[in-house]
Amino acid sequence: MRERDDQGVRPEAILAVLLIISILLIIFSGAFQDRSGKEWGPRFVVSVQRMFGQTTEHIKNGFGSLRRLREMRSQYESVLERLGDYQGLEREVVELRRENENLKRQLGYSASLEYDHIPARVIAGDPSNLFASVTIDKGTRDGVRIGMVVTAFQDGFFGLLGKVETVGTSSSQVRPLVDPDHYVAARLDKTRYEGLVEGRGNDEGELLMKYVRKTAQDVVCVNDLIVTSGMNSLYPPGLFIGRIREIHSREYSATLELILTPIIDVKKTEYVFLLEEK
Amino acid sequence: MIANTAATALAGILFAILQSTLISKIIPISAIPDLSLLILIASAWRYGSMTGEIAGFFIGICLDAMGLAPLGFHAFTYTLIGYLFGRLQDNISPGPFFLPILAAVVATILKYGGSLLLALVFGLNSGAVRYLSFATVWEILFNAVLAPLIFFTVLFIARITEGRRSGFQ
Repeated sequence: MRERDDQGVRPEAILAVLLIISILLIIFSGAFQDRSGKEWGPRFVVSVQRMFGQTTEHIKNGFGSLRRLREMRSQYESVLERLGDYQGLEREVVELRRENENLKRQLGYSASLEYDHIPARVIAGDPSNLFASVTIDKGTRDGVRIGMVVTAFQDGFFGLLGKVETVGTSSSQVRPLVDPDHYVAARLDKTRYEGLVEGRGNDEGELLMKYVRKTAQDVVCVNDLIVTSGMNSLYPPGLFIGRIREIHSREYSATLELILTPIIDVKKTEYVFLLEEK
Repeated sequence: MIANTAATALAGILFAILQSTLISKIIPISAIPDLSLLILIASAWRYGSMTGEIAGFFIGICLDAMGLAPLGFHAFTYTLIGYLFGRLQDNISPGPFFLPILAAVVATILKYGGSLLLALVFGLNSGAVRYLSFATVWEILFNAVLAPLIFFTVLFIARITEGRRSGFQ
């Protein structure tokens, strides 16, 4: 039976009230002008998100362990016929060594940073496909502030991932570079030509570098690295942004447009480093 | 009604958290199914507009809290979708496959349409919201595939809980 008959309230009336509340929230949150005001996030949701983030890691590790166990079993059977169970142990050692080296690299990166920094762990992504964001497990309690630069270490490069957009007590949300609202002053690492990088907001996570002088056309190559120029106050110079994937030169334009592949794949990132201001 | 609404909202919020953590890590592409939307439309269809719109509002608010969406953004669209699918309660029975799949596709399109409308009205950077991309198509596909299962589960739980309630009377 329909609830309105029991309660004496028409659903349309409630609908109107809820939609008005939604619109007022949009207007008064000031979200379209300044999204930094979103301090209202219910903490319990963040806590549950953090819990699920950690649980996800545990589940992933659990499945990984199960897979490794299965591999070890098959290896053990074949090894029994020939040499013994050393191969299984060796695999474990290799896996541990690889993990150890990965952690050492992360630690090495952390130690080599010239800036004071806060390490953090990625606990969640955006729950919808409409927006791009990353949630990390550090907040105001750990010294995180809005606008802090977020970097990560991946495949031998430490690169720019984004900036902190909203901060809660124990978690923060990061706007990644791929967001079209994100602009970074950049330059080509080799030839030092400057330009402006912005996100394209597409599925491939591509970036677009604009305003590169056309005279660079002869010296720019696919796969060249792009770094932050440090020309604005927010991003320090020398952080890797991406590699050139495509070069577009239009006759009517005085500048080049470069399509970039980001150095840091947001989807693969597990740990990040938030840089403190100088 | 309060119990149904609370259960729907809680289930939707739980699935929203799963979407942002477990599911987004499991699926290798940059698209995830919107399970909270599927829960919402299945419950709204079963329990009516009132349950749909109130649960939709709270699920939407939580989605806004978990991402970079402006506060009220998802709340608006999910409230509207909850209400619309609740209107079907006394008119059409969802059935096992075809209508749940159709409902999931329509609800996903409504979600993107509502978001586009809000962005246009409030002047949000059109590039910041990804309306038409492969992720949209993937989401529609994921939702369509999972809709029969979610509808079956919601209706199954509804039948059990209603059976228990009538047993006590």
